Amino acid sequence: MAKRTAPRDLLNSELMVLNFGLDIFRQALESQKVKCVQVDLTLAPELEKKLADALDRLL
Amino acid sequence: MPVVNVVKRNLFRDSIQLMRLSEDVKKLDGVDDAVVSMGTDTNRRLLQDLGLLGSESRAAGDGDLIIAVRVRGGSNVGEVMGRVEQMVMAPPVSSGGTRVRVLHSVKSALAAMQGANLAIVSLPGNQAFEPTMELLRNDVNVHLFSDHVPVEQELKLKQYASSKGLLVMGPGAGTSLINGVGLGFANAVRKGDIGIVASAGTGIQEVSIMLDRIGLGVSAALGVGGTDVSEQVGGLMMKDCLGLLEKDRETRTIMIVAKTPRAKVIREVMDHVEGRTSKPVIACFLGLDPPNTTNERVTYVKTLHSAVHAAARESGAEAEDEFDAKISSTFDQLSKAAKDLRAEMGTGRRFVRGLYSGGTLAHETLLIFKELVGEAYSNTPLSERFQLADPNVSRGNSIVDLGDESFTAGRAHPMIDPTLRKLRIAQEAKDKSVALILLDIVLGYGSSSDPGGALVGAIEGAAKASGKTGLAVLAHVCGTESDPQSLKAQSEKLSEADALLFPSNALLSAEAALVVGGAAVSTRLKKKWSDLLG
Repeated sequence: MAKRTAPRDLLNSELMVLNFGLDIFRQALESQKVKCVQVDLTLAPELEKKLADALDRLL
Repeated sequence: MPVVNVVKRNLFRDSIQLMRLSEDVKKLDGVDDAVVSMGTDTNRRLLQDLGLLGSESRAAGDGDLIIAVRVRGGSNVGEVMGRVEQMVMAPPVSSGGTRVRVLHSVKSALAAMQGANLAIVSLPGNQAFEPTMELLRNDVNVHLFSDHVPVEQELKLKQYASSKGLLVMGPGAGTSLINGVGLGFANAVRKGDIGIVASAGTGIQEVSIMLDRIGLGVSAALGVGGTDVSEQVGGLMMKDCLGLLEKDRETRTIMIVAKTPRAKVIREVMDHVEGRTSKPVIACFLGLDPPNTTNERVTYVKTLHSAVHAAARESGAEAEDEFDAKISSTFDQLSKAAKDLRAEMGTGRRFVRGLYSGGTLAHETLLIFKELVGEAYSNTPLSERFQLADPNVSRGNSIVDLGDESFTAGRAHPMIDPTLRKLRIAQEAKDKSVALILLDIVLGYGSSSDPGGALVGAIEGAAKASGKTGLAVLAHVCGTESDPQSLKAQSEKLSEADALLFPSNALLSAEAALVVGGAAVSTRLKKKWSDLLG
């Protein structure tokens, strides 16, 4: 797994964002050209569970 | 034209998605009007007012989704409703038109973006704790937008984050700016050397846009959420953020903004700051007398306007000149404008109605009114005696925060959805005792694409309804030219609708006080000018 940003360096680092919830914030980040992954925890399809299980086995 | 309601039981869509869906559905062929919303009391009342409430929706609950459509005569109702349902169920689409990949667990998100250093969490407050804790365990800082996170959970999250040197900005953090990126509701402001820590989201927006207008910029703005400065949390994250700004090489001046903080907490925060910082500090504690200090590096101010003026003075002559040219006003200018406004109004018009989308701006206006005119009524008053019995009905001078939860249950925030504010403007215009309607128009990321334009019809309607000797509308546009909505474009739309614009909310509030307050207020404002607008 890639090394994470030391917290003290956050203020001057390129942001890599996980957006949990409102899609409008993903859109705002997209318009600012920020790397972002959208996460919706209100839905948990079977496929996602299978992927998570597979990742568990791999990591 | 037939009104059709479809109720989807136990189907949740967030209020912003629903507002946008409503706008998209209205554009469909065969649709005259439409609202897609959750079945809360407020939303059902709104549907009733719009003539869109069908019998199927009367029993809908908070967790049910209502699709209400007025179908144009001659259209195929089944076909129209089929297209609408398809839109409601579709996954989000990126601005490029491609489907957005959506993940469904913290683990899969972390795996998809290795090196993620920040998460924005806007889940319902009762569901935010576990994912936020999991993110912290994985060394990810969190901007926690969610409201209603229990304070015990907030404390646990912040204690854990603090032990790892991580940030938890929130809960209830509306705005942050990190490395030039706006998070939540934030404006496009220039980068600079002023670092801000705030427990007041619109407070960050107001000071950052004014700094931008006078050529200054923000190194970072960290929103810590309103309850951070409660006695239970003790300003834990505010202190950590201040420590971060103290060490940050890009930050030359530190600004602290807090709304209704606890005096004991602020004393602790300031002891912490005064003992450690080598940088100039400007502290604005809205609604709290500043603690005593002999520290020359610390400047206490009473309003957001004064905080920016202090930053301009700290920066030097050029910034101070810019402040004088672009933000500042004089007592004589305000006084003359008040006289002109009064001259055009009927004598029975004597009250102000502030219809705010920004909670901190509403609070600042309440404080200025208390200093100059006397306390105003509100749904978020300074003291219990001035609580509006019904937030939907104003009395006397009323300053209403339309972003408060009493208005936003199951609805998008008024910075995004203008519907409730438009209806409220029309309602206030019918009251012949109303002299002024005050509006904040908040631009930036996350806000409506045309917040000023959306209110133009309501402003013009209010002027028409109140007649020749009628009310006036005062507005403050909280935005910059770089914002997606453009300060200039929004200002022009509002000016064309005859709204009188002010460069700061504090100036707007002082002007309103002068218009309705008469000679006594004039004397008080002269005396308190340097405190409120200096």
